[in-house]
Amino acid sequence: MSLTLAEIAEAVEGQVRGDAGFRVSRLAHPAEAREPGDLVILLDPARVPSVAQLPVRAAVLPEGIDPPEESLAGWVAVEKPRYALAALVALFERPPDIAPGVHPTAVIDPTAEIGPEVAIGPLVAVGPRVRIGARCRILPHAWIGTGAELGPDCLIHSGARIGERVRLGERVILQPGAILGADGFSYVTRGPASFEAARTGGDFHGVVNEPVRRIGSLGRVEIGDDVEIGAGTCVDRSNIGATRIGARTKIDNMVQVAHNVTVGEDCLISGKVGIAGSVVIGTRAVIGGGALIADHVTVGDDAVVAGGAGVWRSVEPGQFVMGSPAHPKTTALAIQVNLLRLGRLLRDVRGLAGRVMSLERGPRPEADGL
Amino acid sequence: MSDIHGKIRDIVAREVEIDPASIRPESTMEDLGITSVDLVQIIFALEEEFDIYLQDDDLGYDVANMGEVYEAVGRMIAGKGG
Repeated sequence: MSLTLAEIAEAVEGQVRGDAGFRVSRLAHPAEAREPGDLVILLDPARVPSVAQLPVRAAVLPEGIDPPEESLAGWVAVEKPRYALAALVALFERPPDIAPGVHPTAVIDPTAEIGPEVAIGPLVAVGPRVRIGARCRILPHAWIGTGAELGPDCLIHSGARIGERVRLGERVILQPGAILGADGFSYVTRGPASFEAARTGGDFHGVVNEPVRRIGSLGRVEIGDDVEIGAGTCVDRSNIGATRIGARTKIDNMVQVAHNVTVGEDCLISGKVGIAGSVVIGTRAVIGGGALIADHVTVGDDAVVAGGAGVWRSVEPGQFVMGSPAHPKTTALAIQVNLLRLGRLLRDVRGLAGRVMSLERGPRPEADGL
Repeated sequence: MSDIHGKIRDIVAREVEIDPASIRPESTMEDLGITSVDLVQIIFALEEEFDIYLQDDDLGYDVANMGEVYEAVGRMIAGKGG
């Protein structure tokens, strides 16, 4: 495969400088570029001059800064290199290596409906009454449970588990080991539970959590069109109704989405986020890595939750919260500054206390010379 | 540039690991790659260096440029002296 700089400029919506017909055959990381036919992309304008030290003749660079003269045969100038990277990677991306048709080791229940041009890899298991849409690609070891439905053009990576009654829209991507449709973590005690009393500030000494009774998961999981779910991420089924992920939302690896959660459309949820039961997340919300969101909380449309935040209370639409417990940005930063100030504040208070004490004692008596 | 401005510039450069020469009064936080979280450390370091407490009204977390930082710190130092 080789592409001209003109073809690349068209794909990334950039402007060619220099030789538009120069051909490149590989997209390489700057640290791994070896050949004149390698193409590199530099995201940081400050690094543009360093392109002269690379063994390449072509690059995608942030616009407004030219590389050293004669260092390249040509380059593509783009307004936002990271945005261009998406189109660039798509140009050079190789599709998953899977043969068309159903592999002989796959186990397909006779009641399952398999759409046209589907590719199902080795050791895939497809349960009763499953419906798989046209052109879906299902890689080895995936499991699809009873009654699950996959819209057309889904890509299910190896080892993904799609539980009973789970519905996927069109073009959904599940990364390896994603698990949809496990039972929710849902239990109840006959009397008041210790965690309920603790939450409301009550005295829970002597409260015994028994019997703990399981609440089952009759519900389902519904995943919208163009959703991507990362490796090892779990989306649990609801008790009743559905746990929903809205269209075009992207979820990173190792995220826990508990039962009855609703995630809106176009959200971005980073790795290791934990979303407890019945949380509602609005449209276009962004949740930073490792944030934890307590049960029944609402995160409004367009809100941003910083990485590592602990969200105990609902977040207003458009609000940016950080810290644990999470506060709006200005408050959270003031808390951090005040924490850093504590040492000096303590020294100042000690100094003041010393002065007050000496003032209270009054002037020292004159020495009597004895 | 006054001595105080020079010290402020050096503290900011040290906290975010950038070249002090790249810092100008008109430089915005975005120009310098300074995030609001960096600003927490910068405010703390400035307060330690000059023995002042900067209030939110003096220097917020949405500071426009370095000129505002020079001004806020200068004002607090002058107030301390008075």
